[in-house]
Amino acid sequence: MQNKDIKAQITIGAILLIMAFAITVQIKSVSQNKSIAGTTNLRIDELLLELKNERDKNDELRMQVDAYKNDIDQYLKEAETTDNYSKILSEQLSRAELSAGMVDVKGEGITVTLNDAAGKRTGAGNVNANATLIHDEDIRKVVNELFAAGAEVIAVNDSRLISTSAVRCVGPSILVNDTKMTPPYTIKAIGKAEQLEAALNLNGGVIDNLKIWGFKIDIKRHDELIIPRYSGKVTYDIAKPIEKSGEDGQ
Amino acid sequence: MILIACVVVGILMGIVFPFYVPQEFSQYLSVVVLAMMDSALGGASAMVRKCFDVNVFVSGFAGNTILALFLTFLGEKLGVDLFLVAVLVFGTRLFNNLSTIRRHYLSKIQIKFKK
Repeated sequence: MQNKDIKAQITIGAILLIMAFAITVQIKSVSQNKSIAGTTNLRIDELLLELKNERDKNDELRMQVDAYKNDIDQYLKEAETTDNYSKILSEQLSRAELSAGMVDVKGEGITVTLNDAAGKRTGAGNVNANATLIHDEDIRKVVNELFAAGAEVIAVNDSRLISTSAVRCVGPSILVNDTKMTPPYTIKAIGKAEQLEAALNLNGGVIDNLKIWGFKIDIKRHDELIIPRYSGKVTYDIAKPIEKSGEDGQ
Repeated sequence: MILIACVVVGILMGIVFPFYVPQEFSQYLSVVVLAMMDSALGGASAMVRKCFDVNVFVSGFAGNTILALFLTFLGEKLGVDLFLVAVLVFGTRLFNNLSTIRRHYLSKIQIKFKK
């Protein structure tokens, strides 16, 4: 009987040993995992800091790009004064730059300022908060109308619209080119001021449609409006120009 | 005495053990721990009832553990916390076995006092 008891105790003891071992390891692991979770939180803070640093660097680089562009301008000026052929070239270049949005421009035009509707709309009881906000769509409509009415250069909050520009919605803000912006949105357009304003104010036109939502819209004419150049980078990696073969063969 | 010594040795081994269990396995480990607790208490109660059998004990432990692990695995795949089934059953049996042991020793003490 005693012998059997000891055998039983040893067997149970073996299980207890493994059990105690497992529990201890488990407790250690849980506390370890918790501290790991703590470090990931730390990582997020670090990443935020890194992000901020990168953004600062980005700004600096942009300033550098501007400086280089100025350099190029100066070289061009020098080239103009020295040679006739290069004068023609630089004229062509400046024309190309104008149409590509790479130079600051000035001229007659209008500004359209759009701002979110304040509070509740009159007449309707419950207003969806979404309806009182200006969306990318609204800005696109105004821009489209202005281009259609003969605007030559348009910028939204001084972000110049060029051939690859997009106006789209990112969360609560609107992205024009790669610049995030929040209301009020000032759309500058250079063109025949009278014509542009008339196009916007058509009965049942863009402005009429926007006013239904209670947006604050302000249109002003200017004799001289300055629109800054496009500040980003334009790359054509995929699109390649087609060579004109007509000149030599036929 | 042997049992307590085993527990102490196990704890010491656990403290010395240099590896950690990844978080995704901790559920499995806890189920295994419960199965072992159940087996140990079951064995102890069998011992006090004088009907302990090593074969029954080992096979019961192995079977219970495997089933509990399988349930945990299945529950994870199905998105239902099936390991709770094992936890519940083992928990109930823990208390049952404990009460058996308690009654055994209580009656022993009472017998002593009557003498």
